[in-house]
Amino acid sequence: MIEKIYKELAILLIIFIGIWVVFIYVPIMPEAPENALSIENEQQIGDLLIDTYLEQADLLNDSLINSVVDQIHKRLISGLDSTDYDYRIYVVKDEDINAFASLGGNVVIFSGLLKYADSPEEVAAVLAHEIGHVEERHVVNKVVKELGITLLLSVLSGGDPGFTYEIIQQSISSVFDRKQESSADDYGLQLLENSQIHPNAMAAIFRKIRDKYSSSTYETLELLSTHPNTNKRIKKSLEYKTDEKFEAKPFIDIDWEKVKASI
Amino acid sequence: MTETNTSYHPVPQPDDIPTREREDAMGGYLMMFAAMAAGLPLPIINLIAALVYFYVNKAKSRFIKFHAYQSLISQIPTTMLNAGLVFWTLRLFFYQSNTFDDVFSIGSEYEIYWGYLIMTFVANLFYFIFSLIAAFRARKGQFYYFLFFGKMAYHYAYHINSNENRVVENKPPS
Repeated sequence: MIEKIYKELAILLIIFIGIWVVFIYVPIMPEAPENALSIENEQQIGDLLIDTYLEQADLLNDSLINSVVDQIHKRLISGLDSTDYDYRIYVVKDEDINAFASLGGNVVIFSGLLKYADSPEEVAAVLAHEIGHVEERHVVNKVVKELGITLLLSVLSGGDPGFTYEIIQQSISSVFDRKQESSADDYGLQLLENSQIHPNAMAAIFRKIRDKYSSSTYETLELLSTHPNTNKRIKKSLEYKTDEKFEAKPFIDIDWEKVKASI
Repeated sequence: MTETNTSYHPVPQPDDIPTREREDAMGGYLMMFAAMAAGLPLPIINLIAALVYFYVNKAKSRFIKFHAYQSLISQIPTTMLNAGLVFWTLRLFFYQSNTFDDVFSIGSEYEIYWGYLIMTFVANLFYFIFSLIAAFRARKGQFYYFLFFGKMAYHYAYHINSNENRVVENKPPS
């Protein structure tokens, strides 16, 4: 009888540990909602969205700043192996130190970020992070999860304009989860290295943003506010190991002080 | 049961068990539900309640002892799992200050937590269903053996202790 008791205990343990293990590996959440939207459609919707956004935003149209952003942009694109996205970077007048990626590779930088950064490399670091969100389709993932694919596609067939605005709000205001942030960081660091920009620039800008915003708890900043683990992220970018042959190529043509003064 | 070294008291037949005993045996299971609901955030409460019920009733008869013990021991692992779940969840959200988005995100590092949550859910479901069946059976004066716990409870309640039959003989001083 005692033996049988042990045998049944073993059966019971196997059943329950089995259930645990099985459900660790069986995904209970639907897999990758972003796959529902093709990149082509994403780009179309993205272009529509950014047009609507820019109608109400204050686009900064300064030839110096445009050329600087263009240089950073080109350098980062040169670091991408291949991309399905046609990246466009817009600078908008806004005091917030922020940047966000919308659908279809449209990235918006706030002028506050340019003003606050101490070098073009730091701006590149933020852009690299945002490009990471685009390339790994976090933006689509978020929007599809929040709003659903049907509503999203209805924009293409000239749906409710109020709805277009809603999607924009979604892509600006809601946050990525920690894993997405972390993988966008990884992507960004790799991209910086490939673009011959020292990845420590990411730590520099993160630290600045943290110091600026840690004093005021009220401020919300999408770029970093998502999680309290900014320190971990700074540490990761400081510890990022570049290839032995890596050589940073500075932006020699850019007079950053002049850029900052012109904002 | 062809056991050689351990012997057991004979199990009573339904007709031999008085209604009073059947009700007390059934009460063991139903009592746990009430205690479980009351003690959900602090599972120690229902364990205490279960223990009290068991000690108050175990001397009444072997039939009651069997059912009350089976109910008590089958509750312990479920309670532990629930306590672990409450603790883990609080830790995720308050200590590590995750957001719901983190924990619910696709492909997140919380698969182990999700697996545990489902396992705990299944354990509670099993506990609930089998306890209900056992309660009805007990009311009818029948036995119902859970996997593992059933045999353990049977052994505990019906096992003949070797000391039981020893007749103490008083002797004058030598």
